[in-house]
Amino acid sequence: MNNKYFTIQHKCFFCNTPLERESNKEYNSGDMIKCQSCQELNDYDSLVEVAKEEGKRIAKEEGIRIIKENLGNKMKNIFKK
Amino acid sequence: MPEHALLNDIIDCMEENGHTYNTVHLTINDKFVEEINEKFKTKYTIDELRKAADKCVAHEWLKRTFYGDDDYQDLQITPKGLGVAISKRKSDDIKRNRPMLKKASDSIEDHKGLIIFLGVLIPFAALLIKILGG
Repeated sequence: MNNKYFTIQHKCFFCNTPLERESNKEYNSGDMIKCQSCQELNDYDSLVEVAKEEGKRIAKEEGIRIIKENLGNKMKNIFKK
Repeated sequence: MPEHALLNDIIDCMEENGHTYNTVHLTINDKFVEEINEKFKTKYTIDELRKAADKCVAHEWLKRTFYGDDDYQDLQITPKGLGVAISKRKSDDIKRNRPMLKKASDSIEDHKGLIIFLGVLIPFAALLIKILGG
């Protein structure tokens, strides 16, 4: 089974605009990231938590999709015989 | 803003009782309105808090966990709502703890349009007074 990769973009909590990284800046726990659109500060740790939840949701949906696909194929093979 | 009052109230409850975000629920009724107004020294009405809750649900800061007659029973904060509240708290703390010089600089930055206008108006007015006086 191949590994699947998904990209999750951090979005501003206040205006939903994708957040952009300031050039060459590394963010760490406790940092605040400024939204270029609405100028609000977004807590880095909270952004990571939201991204984790989004990742879990995507992984669950993809898992269900793969299982349905495989089950569907197996059922087709059973009825072919 | 009433939206932030709702979110902050949930976070305070979480921190006071050692609960996680998915075990705390909020119901908007008359008693809750009284508690919020006493806590935050505000004068929100129940309709204002319900409208604020609708806004929070639309932005996915709160979600409904009770699907019955009352849309404002057992509302739960989402990870996004937590992010909004925590970000706002930290941002307010940063603003409060700025040194005096930074506060002055930020105030000038926020009002630079007005300062430029006054900077042009005052010398112009002085020139006008000198011409008319002379």
